[in-house]
Amino acid sequence: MDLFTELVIAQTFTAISYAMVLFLIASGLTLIYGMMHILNVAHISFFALGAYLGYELVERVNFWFALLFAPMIVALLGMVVERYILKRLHNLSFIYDLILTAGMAFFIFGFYIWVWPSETYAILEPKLFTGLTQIGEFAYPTYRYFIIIFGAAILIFMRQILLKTRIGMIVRAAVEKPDMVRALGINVPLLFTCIFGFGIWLAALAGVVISPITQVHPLLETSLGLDAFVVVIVGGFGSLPGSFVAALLFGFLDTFAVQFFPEVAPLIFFIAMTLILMIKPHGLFGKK
Amino acid sequence: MKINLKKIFLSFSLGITLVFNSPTFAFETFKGDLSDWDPGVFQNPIFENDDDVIKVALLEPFTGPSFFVSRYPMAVMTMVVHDINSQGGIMVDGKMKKVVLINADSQGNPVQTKKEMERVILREKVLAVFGTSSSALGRVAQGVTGKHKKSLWINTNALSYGLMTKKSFNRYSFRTTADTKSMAKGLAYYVAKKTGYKSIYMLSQDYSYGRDFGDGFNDAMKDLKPSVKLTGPDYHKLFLKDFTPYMAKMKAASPDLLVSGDWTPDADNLLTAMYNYGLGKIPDAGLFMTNLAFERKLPAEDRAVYREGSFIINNASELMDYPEAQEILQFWQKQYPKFTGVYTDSRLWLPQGITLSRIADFYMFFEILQKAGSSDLDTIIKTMEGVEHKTALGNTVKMRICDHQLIRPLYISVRGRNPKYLYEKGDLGVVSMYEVPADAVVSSKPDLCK
Repeated sequence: MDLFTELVIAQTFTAISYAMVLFLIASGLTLIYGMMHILNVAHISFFALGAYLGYELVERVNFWFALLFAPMIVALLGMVVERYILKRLHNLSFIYDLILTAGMAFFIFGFYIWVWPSETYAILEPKLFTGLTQIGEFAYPTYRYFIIIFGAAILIFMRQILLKTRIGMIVRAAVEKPDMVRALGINVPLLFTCIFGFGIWLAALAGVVISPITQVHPLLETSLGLDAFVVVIVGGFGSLPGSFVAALLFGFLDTFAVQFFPEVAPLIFFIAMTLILMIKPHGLFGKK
Repeated sequence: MKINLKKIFLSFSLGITLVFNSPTFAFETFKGDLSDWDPGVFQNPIFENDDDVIKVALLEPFTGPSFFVSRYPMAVMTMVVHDINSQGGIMVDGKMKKVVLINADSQGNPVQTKKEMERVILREKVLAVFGTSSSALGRVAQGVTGKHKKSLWINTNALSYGLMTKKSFNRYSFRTTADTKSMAKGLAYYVAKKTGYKSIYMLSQDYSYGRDFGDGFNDAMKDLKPSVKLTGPDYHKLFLKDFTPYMAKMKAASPDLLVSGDWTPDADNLLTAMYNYGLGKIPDAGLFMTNLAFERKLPAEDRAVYREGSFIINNASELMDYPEAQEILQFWQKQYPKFTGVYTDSRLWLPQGITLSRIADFYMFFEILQKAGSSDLDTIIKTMEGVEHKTALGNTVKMRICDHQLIRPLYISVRGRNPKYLYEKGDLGVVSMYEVPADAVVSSKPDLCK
């Protein structure tokens, strides 16, 4: 295999794996917005909290335990927040949600730097996926393959739940006609609490999955959060397929710009976002 | 007139007694009582009038995402102030004045930096502000000081070359740290003269500091050793979440050294990505290229291979072979177990280059202030300009008059096994040190001077 081909393949895998992480974060955000019309500014803070809690559980037990339980704990916290705080604002202007979730973001940030006050916490890749996997002449980090497969599995799982199950049907109906669903005896507020928790679960899951690559530090939410918001905006607010396509697009742009246009690589996200929004102001899959 | 020999003798004896037995009206560096020094419980002296004390401020991100950065300079500053105050203060304006330390919290944010600078200069009326851990914030602080002309700005760690050029210079600002280009040139000097590396990949952060460093290193290497193959410089955005795209590129370039100006968390993530991508055996060089949180988790043998032979450049090194430097370092380590609060952070256990150089730089200011004997800004500026000074670490530095840039030797610290000082909990540390002479790294051309 020549060097150029090897480079292109490696960058392609990197692009897909990064896109998967972006999608995990962005899908939670867009799901909450799409179903509940809440722009959850604290979403990315829940992502960082997932990473910190994941670190703690990896230290105490192991990576797999952390992957299972850290997102669950953060999701439960998210549900409590929705049930007892956010719910009170559902009938008010979106500005109230925005201010409240921004305040929550500050609170969560303050909380985790208080509990984990050092600058960086490192998580090693799980032993099963450490090192490189050699396929023919091509060697690539095994953990990256895991991220791709794991991300794809979550994507399929979400699709199946939303489109093929009774719960998914109720969720979609509750979004379109909440009063009708309520009249049928379904507890819509509880349903919304569960949706909020699921969105937060996705963010926290991304936090645990990405932490062996990024490590865990207070700037984590700044470095990934902005990218996730860009993905949601470009994909179209509330659109899951939009988020997936935008995540892939930005994964590839980011990765290949480094290789072929390193001078513009740091700006590529914003150049692409500007161009796309000039042509499609509501994003790729957004509705007016 | 009758001469009273007895009176003359008594007066003479009294004079001699006063001269030799009077209390010392001047502080001496590192001679105070530091036995109870703990940065976690630092307290300012009580005073009634502003004229009775010397107020200084430390501009750092005490809160916000980079809060941890403030611990190192704050610990150092409390040590220096504690030392001075335990000796009764500094002899200025004809009396001994204790030092009052005020925190200026930049929050890592330029708008907040401006507010805090104006607060400490205009309201608190500080004589000098020290800082700060960012060239972007350093530029703001420098601008505010130049605008108000009421305090001095002592830049101990904003490295960007552009801060002290003709365009940005103001006479109220001094920089004690070497600039990015000097650091890059010093690193290139060491690589060219003392190592046999033939192929180097340069990757740095995409802003003024990173670009100055990357371009500076490559330019210096081309001058000093044109035969070395250079890939890059590549510049990545700040706080990059994923270095893997650069790893594929680096693997293709197959360098035998990576050079980077990155600082945490980018430095940590870059080194982690190298290890995860199977490039951990390639040594690295830079200013802040350490990744202790990650490396201490690795098996011992992996860790040694991963970090051995890597080196950093800085204003100081824990292996500086001056007795003064070693005395301070050993005192610090002896005192560390007494630290409380956030200062129990295990990274404070071993003061490395930047922390050691801050000790020297903070002391230097107060020594020069005492030498000036006045809190008048013009007098202090004139005393600082051109001063040749033996630092608290034992080496000699000189404040260049034309751009207020301190000219100082730089130190390469090479990592390996069985070091004299262990990093916190690890088994690696600095095993050798090389002093790059000051004239080899001076980067400002005379035409850039005011």
